[in-house]
This record gives sequence, C-alpha cells and structure tokens, in this order.
Amino acid sequence: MAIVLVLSGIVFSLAYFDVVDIPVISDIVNKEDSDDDDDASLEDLEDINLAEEVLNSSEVLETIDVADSTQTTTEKDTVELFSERGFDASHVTSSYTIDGTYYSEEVIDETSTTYHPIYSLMYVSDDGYYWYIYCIDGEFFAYPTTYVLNNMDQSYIYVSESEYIITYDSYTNTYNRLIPNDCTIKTVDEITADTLDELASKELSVS
Amino acid sequence: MKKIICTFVSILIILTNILVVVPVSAASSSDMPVVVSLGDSFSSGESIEPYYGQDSADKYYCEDWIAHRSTQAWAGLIEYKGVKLNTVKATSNSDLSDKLYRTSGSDDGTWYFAAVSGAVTDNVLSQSNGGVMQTKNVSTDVSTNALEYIYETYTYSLDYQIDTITSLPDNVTVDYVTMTIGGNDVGFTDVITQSVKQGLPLVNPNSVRDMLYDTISQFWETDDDKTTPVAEKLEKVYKEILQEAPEATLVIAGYPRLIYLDSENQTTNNIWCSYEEGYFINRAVAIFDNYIEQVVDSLGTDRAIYVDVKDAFSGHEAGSDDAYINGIMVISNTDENVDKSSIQDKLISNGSVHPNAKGAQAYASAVQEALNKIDSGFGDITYNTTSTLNVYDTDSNLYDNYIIDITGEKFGYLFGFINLDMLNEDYSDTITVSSSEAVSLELPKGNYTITITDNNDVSNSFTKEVEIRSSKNTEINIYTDFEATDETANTTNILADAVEYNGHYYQYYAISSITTWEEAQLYCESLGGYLVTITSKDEQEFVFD
Repeated sequence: MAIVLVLSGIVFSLAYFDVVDIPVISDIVNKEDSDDDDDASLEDLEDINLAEEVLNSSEVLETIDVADSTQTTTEKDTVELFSERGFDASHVTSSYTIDGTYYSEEVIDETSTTYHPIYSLMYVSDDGYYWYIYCIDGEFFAYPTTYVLNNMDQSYIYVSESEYIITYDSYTNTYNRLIPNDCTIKTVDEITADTLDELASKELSVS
Repeated sequence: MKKIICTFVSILIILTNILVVVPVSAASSSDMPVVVSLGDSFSSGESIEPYYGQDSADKYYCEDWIAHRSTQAWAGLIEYKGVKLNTVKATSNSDLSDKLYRTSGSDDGTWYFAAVSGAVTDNVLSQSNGGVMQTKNVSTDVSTNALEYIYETYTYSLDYQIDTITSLPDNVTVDYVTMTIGGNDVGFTDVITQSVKQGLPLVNPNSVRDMLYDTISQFWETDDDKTTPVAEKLEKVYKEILQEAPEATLVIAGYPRLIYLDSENQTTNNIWCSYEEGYFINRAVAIFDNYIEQVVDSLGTDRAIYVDVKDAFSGHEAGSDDAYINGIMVISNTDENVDKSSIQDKLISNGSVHPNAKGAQAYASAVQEALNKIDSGFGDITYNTTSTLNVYDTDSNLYDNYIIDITGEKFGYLFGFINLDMLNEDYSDTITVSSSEAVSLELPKGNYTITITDNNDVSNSFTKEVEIRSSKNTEINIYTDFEATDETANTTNILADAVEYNGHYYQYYAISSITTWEEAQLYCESLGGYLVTITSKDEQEFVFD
C-alpha cells in the first residue's frame, strides 16, 4: 500500500509539473497561470500621476502650486480675455475646481467670480480648421487639432505666445511651464482668432 | 408551406429523383441553436466593413447599416457544429419592422443580430423597465463628391434591444444571448479620442486618468442620488434578458486591453498615448472587466457566464505590429458614416480604438472556447489525426490561393501510450494551395498552430490553434477575410449542368439506389450541396419547371 501511495504521488507530481501528460491525472492537477489583471483594483489607479512622464521628458522652467499663483483667472476674467482675442466665449468650459477636483465639463458663467485652473474653448477657423484654445494660469496657447490629426506621424505641435507651454497637473494641482522634448512649439505674438485663421490658411507652417 | 414541403419531399422519394442545390455560400446546419446577439459597437463590429445592408440601394433606411452591424462581427463568427452563425441567408422579416435578420433557411435555427454601435445599457432594457430608445441621425447622400457632401438628415429610432427577444414568435425558444455592454456607459474610447482631439496628453496629462477614474470609482455607487451606478444598470440588463429568455444562457464578453505596451522601450508605438497613460487605460479596462464579472457572478446562476477576452488580444493591442485594435482613425467624407452632418465636429472616426477584423476573430475564439466547454455542439476543440482543412474567403467560399504553415509539437509516447513532454518533437510543414478545395491533413497527435497566408497579399494571415487527438471531429474550418480574385472562384464547385436561380444552383439527379430522405441529404452533402427545401411559391414553380 505504501509503495502504491508513493508511486501515485510521484505520478501526480510529474503530472503537476507537466513532465508527464496522462489524461485524467493531468486534468486533476491542471494548474492555471495567474493573471495580474485578476487582482486589478481601483487602488492601482490612485497613485498614478500621468504628468510625471511629461515632466521627465521636458525641460521644466517653473513649477508653481495653483494655490500660490496670482495669475489664475476667474470665469468672468476668462470670458473677457477670450472675447478680447476675438473668440466667441460663450462655450468656454472648465472641468476642475481650484483645488484640483475633477468634474464633468461645464460651460463657464461670464458673471461668475469662481476660479478654475484650466479653461478650454474649441474654435473653428475660417478655413474649417479645428483648434482647442487653453487659458492656464492666465496664459493662452492653442492646439491645432485638424493639423495634428492630418499629420499623425509627427510629434505634437502647439502654438504659444512664448517659447514654452503650460501644463496643468491635476494630481499635484500645479502649473508647469515647460518645453517638451518631443513637441514643436510655434510662437506667435498673440493668440487671437485672426492669428489662428491666418495660421490655418497657411496650413500651419512650422518653420 | 410545411405541408407543401412535406408533399414535395415525398414525391421526390417515390420517384427516386434527387435535386441537388449547391449554394453560393457555405452550407448551413439544420439544427442550429437560436442565438440573439445584442450589445454595443464591440459586438456590432464597428469599423469592420462591409456592414449588412451596405451595398443595398436602401442602405440609408436599413437598420443593419445604420447600426453598423458588420458581416464579420464576432458574434456571427461563432461556430456551431462547424457552421458559422452568420453563414446563412438574410431575409427580411416584416413581423419585426422591416429589419434584416440572419436566418438559417430552416425552421430549426436562427441568429438574430441586434447589437448597435454606440449602445449603452439603457438601450438594451425594455421601455417598461426604464429603457431609453437609441436614435441615430442618418444622412442620406445627395452628392457623391468626395470633397463635399450635400445631404439630408433624418432621425432613425432603434427598438429597445430586448424587444428582439420579446417579439420572437411563441414557438421560438432562445438558446443563447451574446453581448458586450457597458463600455459606452464608462466611455473608454470616447475618453481616449477626446483626449487626442484636444491635445490633452501634454496640456493636462491627467485628464484621461481623471475622467476614467471618476467613472470607474462610481461603478458601484455614484456621488449623487440622481445617477444610477453602472453596476446596477448591468444587473438590470442581465436580469431582464434572463427573464425574457428563460431557457437561454447569457454569454457576456468583457473588453480587451486597448493599448500596446512595449515595456522594454517604455513606449506604446502610438504618438497619441504615452506608456504610462497606456498602462493606466489598460489597467482601468481590467478593473472594469473584473467589476462586470462580479456583477455576473452576483446573479447566482449558471445561465450567465462571463468571458474574459484579454488573453486573446494580448500583444495585439493598438500600436502593436499585428494589431487587433484600431488606433486613432481620422474621419473622412468617404467613410461609411451614418451621420455626415457631424463629421467635421467629430474629426475622429467611431471605429478608433475598436477591434478590427482580426480583433473580431479574437473575440470569437475566446467566446467559442467558453461555449465549447458548456455545449459540445459548439465544437469540440480537438480534431482527428486525419482531418480536412477548409479555408473560407470573405464570402464564405473555399479560398483558392494560400499557403498553409503548420507548426507545433507532436506528442511522444513512452510504451506507446504515456505521453511524456520530453519525448515531444517539433513539427512543421508547409502546403501551398492553388485551388478552391478542402485540404486533407494527416497530423500526428499533438498541438499545432495552423497559419493561413493569402498568396495575393502575404501580409494578411489568419491562425488557428488545433489539438489533434483521437477525436470524431474531422473538419477544421478557418474563416478569413481573403477576397476571391474573380467571380469564377465562387463557382468552381458548381456542377456543370446546374441551373442558377436566385443566387443558388440547382442540379437534378435520378439515383434509384437512394430511397430515403436521409440518404438523399447525405448524397447531396457529399457533393458540397444540400437537398432542396422549397421556401417560396416562386421557387416551387422554378423547380417543377
């Protein structure tokens, strides 16, 4: 009996480690590979800050807490700034409170004195080019959506009023003025509707 | 009609005449299960053309096209006893509001395809259960100028998807319901495409993180009392389906990881998605899949099964060399867009970050494996050492110009019956096929990968994993998207004297040794056809003439 038990154990062990493939026995000891995804949980996502990768691949000129900035604009200010630049400010939106809490995108109110760290507006130029214009920490820059989508094999391009762009990091609730390594920044004097119309008509000459 | 058919069959037997019908498409089984396929764009086959009704003159009024139901959607690629659910003729069913449904041509089996691109959980539920009718803006072409479209747009209302089940005739029992649903409630692909459209990866790198985390964190419980959690919606959908189809097994497929991750180079090969963002998105999908599975498990019934498809897509996400998931696709005037009025605003195609044709195959294989385990009729996954390989083109005809590569491992045995891994040997073989006929394979017992490469486009290939054992299965079917090069490829198996009628070919035989219906059917099948079944008065008149 002992010999039988020992032999059985050997056979089962061989089957378990896939040395032997004996029908029925192999089915009994069949093991499944573990999958990390089986353990995926919300906690996995909480500590991921996607801005880190951008910062690590950029020349960071300045980092400032939103709470410490004196340039952050109110909804009322922002509507005025967009309007002065020739944009229809009736559809400017925000998605973050001043302390960095995300909420579903809402159109801002031209009479409101509520602050937000980032505002955006979709603009269509005369030639049908689509742009997204951002007001972050009181500074403006534009993203040429149509151009980028038509040139997906190239790096991102942004239009800025300086040699840098500003990114908003909602995880740390900070502004970062930076020059990304894998991005082209086209500098203009001022981001206005007329400027973007002209750039669009020239198909955004990058040189 | 049945009486007419029975009478006609009796006459055939008495006269010992046999009429052989050779179909243009693959033969259908007479005992197919009733399968209803519901869900969203991952089930409808968004981006995988052609859609049903796409070539119809009435496509702008055809629900199948409006819903973007693909002829190669994974739900239709499921095989039952070696027959694909979608290898059936399409008929219009006036009892179901002019919708086109796939039927098998017999009374014993049908496949109802009711998934709709863009559907959310509320679109599946019945109206009385809080369902929300899904509508589509449909633009009818007035101009075909590729630079400019002049069109008119009307609103098409789709039925609540559950109605596909409840409106079936009383004598029809649903055996299976397949679906993917919930992805649009969370908005995975919308979040990704919006991020790309707005340049958010650099402007606000955590935008994707914040949007997805916000939605997934409220899967079980929302922050406000007005919004129903996705978990509750899914449970409601599943329960209603199980209630309305009391004999059916509900098969819920999850979602694949979407973004390819090259961990060595820390890249996704997608300019629009960083490695970290891709990791985050994939992790969010995995969490969502886990949550879906938990909801399915909470139903407490073995009539509902969850199928994880992630392994089937592993290494083939968007950005990989052999991607099963589309990347970002810029919208075009020449696309099969249902709503052309919104093209300029959308900018990015609905098919972005969706499974392509190979992705549909991957979905089908994952679900097939699950169905095989619960119902052997869906196909024993093992095959005999002497088997026949059938490679079908996109029209479900035998393809005629491809290369078969077989690689794998043949089993080695100790004492002739104990398989030891250390005795296994590598196996490889290559066969070139230049005619549309089945290929006889003699393979020793083992595990193999069969790769079919189109000789007309060597970059296009399909693979199938097969296990060769002492099995009764002798037919290995591989369905591809290869396209026949000319019309003759579709008719090489047509008998010389056959007469064409309504897309089928009829051949008349008189064989005195065949005296029963079953013998007649077997004889017809041996020729690659099937015994005629009269389904209309016109067909009856044609046959008798």
